[in-house]
Amino acid sequence: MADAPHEAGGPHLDQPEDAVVDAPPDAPTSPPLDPRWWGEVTLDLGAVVRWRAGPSTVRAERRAADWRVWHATEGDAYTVAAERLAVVDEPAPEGAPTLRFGFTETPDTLHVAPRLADRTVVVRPEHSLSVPPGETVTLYASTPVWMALQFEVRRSRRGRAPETDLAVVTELASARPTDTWLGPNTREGELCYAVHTAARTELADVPLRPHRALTPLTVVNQAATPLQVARVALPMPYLALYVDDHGRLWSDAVRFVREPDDDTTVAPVSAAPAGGERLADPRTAQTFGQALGRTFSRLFKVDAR
Amino acid sequence: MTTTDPGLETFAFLAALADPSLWWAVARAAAYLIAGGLLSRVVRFGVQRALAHLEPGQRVLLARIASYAVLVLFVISALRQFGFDFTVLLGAAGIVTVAVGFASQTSASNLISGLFLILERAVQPGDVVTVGGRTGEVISVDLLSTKLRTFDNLLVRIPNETMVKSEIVSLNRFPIRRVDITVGVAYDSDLGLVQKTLLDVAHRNPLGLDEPAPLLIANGFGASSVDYMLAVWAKSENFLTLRNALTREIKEAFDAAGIEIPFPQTTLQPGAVPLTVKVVGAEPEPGPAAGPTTGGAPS
Repeated sequence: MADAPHEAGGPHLDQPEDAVVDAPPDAPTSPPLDPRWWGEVTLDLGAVVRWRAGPSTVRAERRAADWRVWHATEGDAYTVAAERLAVVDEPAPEGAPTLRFGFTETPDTLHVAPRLADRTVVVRPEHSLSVPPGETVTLYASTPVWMALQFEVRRSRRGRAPETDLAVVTELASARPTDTWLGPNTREGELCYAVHTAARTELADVPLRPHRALTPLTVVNQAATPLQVARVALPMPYLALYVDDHGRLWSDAVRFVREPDDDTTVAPVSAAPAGGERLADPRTAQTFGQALGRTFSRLFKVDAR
Repeated sequence: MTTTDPGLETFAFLAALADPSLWWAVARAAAYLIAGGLLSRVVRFGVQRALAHLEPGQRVLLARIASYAVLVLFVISALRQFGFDFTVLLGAAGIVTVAVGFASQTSASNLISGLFLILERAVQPGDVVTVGGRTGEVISVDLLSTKLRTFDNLLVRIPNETMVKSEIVSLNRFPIRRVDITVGVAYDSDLGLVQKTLLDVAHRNPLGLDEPAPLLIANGFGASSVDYMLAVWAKSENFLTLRNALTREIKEAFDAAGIEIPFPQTTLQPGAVPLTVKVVGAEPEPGPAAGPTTGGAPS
């Protein structure tokens, strides 16, 4: 925690996680943070709802025929802030809304839920970590979550009675990570998100950030040479999302094994936190092994540099 | 002189019609044509299905060639039933080929070029290409020409021969592209700060890829500025958005950091004779050129 990550390495999009672990000592004492910003709220026509997750503040107004959503960001990707979804006594923001959703008659309940990233996230530890031969280490990497806005809609199917269903109308990034390319060359590969992380090894050191989900990442080095963990691709669409009893968001764990013959295998490991609640299923219904084959195993590796 | 009796001619014609061998020949020819039509259709579908791994353009072309070949064979067989001798026709065909060849030199060249274009898969519908200075989306690659839709919505028909001879630059064949932005800074700038500012801008924009990493290249000392090129990778679809955003963000970051982007400058060296420079404008200049309204004196 005492690291000064900006002293090493080049310029980065975001401040690394260490930089905002603790509030400055002279900061005024604030009430303890309630990290659960998601939930559902029912509101009357003309009322405004607001919530905050990290740098993102979202306001939504229910009107007779449309829902209007304003999304604003303030601060960097590691801003620690949360405000629970609730009706606020304030007028709708001036200026054009970020998004509008039209209905015959607007639903009165807005559901907001966290979701993991929709692409693979390439995590770069701020300080590279070397895993000696035969060792196993568990790192904690946090990645920003998306805020899924959902409404109840009635869907009529032929020959059946209309069913009420919860439909996602949009997803807003709480802190949009930068794009990156993961592949053997510039002709083939996959567009991913890049996230810089402190990659802490002690859970107690990991700060609680309401808009980021922690992924426990186990790196096993069975080869005869040390393994330098320079960047790790986390298959976020294959992981489920949980919340523990402290309100911290967790994803399933990921296990990387560098085998004696230098092959690397990767596998998501179902890992709900103790006393945790499952908030979202993996985005893709396919299992990791079914979807990916050899190409994927080549992409998802811990760089040995 | 012999004259033919029309009555006799009619009789001969009717006698020929009554000859069962003629009807037999017609029936066989018709059978050949029907069988040929059916078989060519079967061949077309069969080839299309067998070559499912090829591009649609290639598949259609090969299927069409195969089905026409089958049809031509059956038509020739049908004609043979009436006693047509194709050895004579083949001899004539050589001469005709030379004549037609000369007449349709351009079309034939385009046709052959079109075949090569389709088989080589140099361009495909949907590609965004620059050919001979024109950039547009490929709508179709036909046998004689390739059609482009330019971004101002014009249809450009490029003969395939030109396509084969020209350099074709495909702008969206690969999933990612590099945005290159050149910028010059004043000679009195802190170059360390300039480099840091440029790379910060590149890292801050979420559309710029983190990897391949942004590249900063010093292009040398220019006439009026120290020139840099900032190269940032982006997904091909985001190319223009990123280029516009980076240009604005670089200007804003330079303004905030007090870095100047200089105009072209010229330094005058007076040589042996000292050059006297006088600042004019503080006081009205006397003389005939100064009109009554040019003075700055308060009224």
